[in-house]
Amino acid sequence: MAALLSAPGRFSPVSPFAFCYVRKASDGLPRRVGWMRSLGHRCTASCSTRGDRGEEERKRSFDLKDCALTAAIAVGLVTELGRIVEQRDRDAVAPKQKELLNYVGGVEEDMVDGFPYEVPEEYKDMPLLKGRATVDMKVKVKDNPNVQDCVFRIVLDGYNAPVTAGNFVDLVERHFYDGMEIQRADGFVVQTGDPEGPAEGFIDPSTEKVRTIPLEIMVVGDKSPVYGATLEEFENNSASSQVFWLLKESELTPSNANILDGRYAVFGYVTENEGYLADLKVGDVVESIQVVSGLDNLVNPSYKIVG
Amino acid sequence: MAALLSAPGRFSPVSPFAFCYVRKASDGLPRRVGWMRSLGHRCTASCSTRGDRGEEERKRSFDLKDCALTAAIAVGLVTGIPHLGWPAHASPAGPVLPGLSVLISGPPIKDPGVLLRNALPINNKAIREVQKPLEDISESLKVSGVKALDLVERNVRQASRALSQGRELIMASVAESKKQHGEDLVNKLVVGLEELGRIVEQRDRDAVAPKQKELLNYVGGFLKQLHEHARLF
Repeated sequence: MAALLSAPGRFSPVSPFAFCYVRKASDGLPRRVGWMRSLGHRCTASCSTRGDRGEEERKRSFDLKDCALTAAIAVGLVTELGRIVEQRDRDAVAPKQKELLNYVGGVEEDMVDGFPYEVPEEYKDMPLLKGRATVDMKVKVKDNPNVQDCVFRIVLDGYNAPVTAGNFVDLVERHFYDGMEIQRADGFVVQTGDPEGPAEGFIDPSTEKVRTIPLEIMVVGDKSPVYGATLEEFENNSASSQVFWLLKESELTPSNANILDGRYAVFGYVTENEGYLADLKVGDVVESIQVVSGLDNLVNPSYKIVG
Repeated sequence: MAALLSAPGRFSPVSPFAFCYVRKASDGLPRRVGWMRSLGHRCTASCSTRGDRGEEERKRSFDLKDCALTAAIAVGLVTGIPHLGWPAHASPAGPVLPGLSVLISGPPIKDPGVLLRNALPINNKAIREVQKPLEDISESLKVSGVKALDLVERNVRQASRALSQGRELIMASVAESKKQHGEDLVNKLVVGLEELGRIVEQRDRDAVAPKQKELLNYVGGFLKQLHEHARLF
């Protein structure tokens, strides 16, 4: 689309299709020149106050018809341009808003002084994430012409699920998930974490048993999480290494009001590329998960103890 | 499936995993209602310590009857669903109880940034007053037409005002060790809000609308002349 430009004279719409402008002719009288490129012809008519009436009439009628058409097209284009400019203003707002909200989030995080509560005695020696950490998960997507691999940024929330998030970061540092396949992707969730072999979770080399973590639910308004309680038919505290991402898309699992709330421990959110989660399918491979920041919030790391 | 929740009333079965608990009835006496789990249920009707034995009996039997009916429905629901594994099958689309809409206020929040900010263990109203209008900009942008940027301007002004009024309270809540970092962020926030305000103000200066008006006048003029020279089409 061509830009609007102003030229001296009565009107000046510009487009690839039509172009009309006023020029002063050598005799000092204004000439209106029409130029219609799209319609493949050029009309030139001049309007002078002198001379032959009949010819003038014919010229003028031709001139008016074409110019009216031109003007109509021009108006359409100006409206379109108006929309483009408006969209440009809107497009400038969103990234700025994001930047400002990052600052707000940063100030809010600065208001948290230390870790606000004590984890129960029985879980104190497990790996705990006393704060937040960010990881990048790189997934290789197979058989998809649009996407070859995707990096998801995940923020792990140790303020609301320290034991669960701590266990996850510990496993990430052990490279437990590197090379693992997506094991379930059914439109509701994307799931992985079941290692090869008969075990369904992470086998702690120091005990040679599956290391499990308790169910950990932070209820709105509470000061610290609730451990182990659920109406779930599975064993409360049998979680080990299997994790899933709930796609917040289905009408059957609306945010804040779905049947998973209170039955599974939420310990983080995907903050970048979350839209691509829905494109993952069984067989896609988690190439690697790496901690980007917040590793120093992990206490009692077990990965440093080489068995 | 509806979430577990408490609703006013005598009993509140919500799902196959029904959940009822103690509530004070309007006459001030505690009523213990039923607690039903997926298989096997227990239903208890309360008895008041007041008066009329006969009425009490009738009430109790009514309670029991209702509870029995509830239990029957619950069992029916439970057995009606082939398996209780994952994924769950769809249930009624609308709320099971009229009270459901009261507890879920507003549309569900899906934005991870918002969820994470809200989940921080802090209690500072002033910063939340800056956070809210900034987040509302996303909603404002969804409005079509020029109105959107008017709404954004209002959001920006609200955020700026909240920040200038609440700056002291905000800085007071920042942890000692992070005071400098917090101060930097607040300064960046002030500058950023000004910039955003300028972007939004700019929209009036793009003289597209006047140009459009000018053109429409000419079209009108031409059409009038066309009308006068009928020998055109």
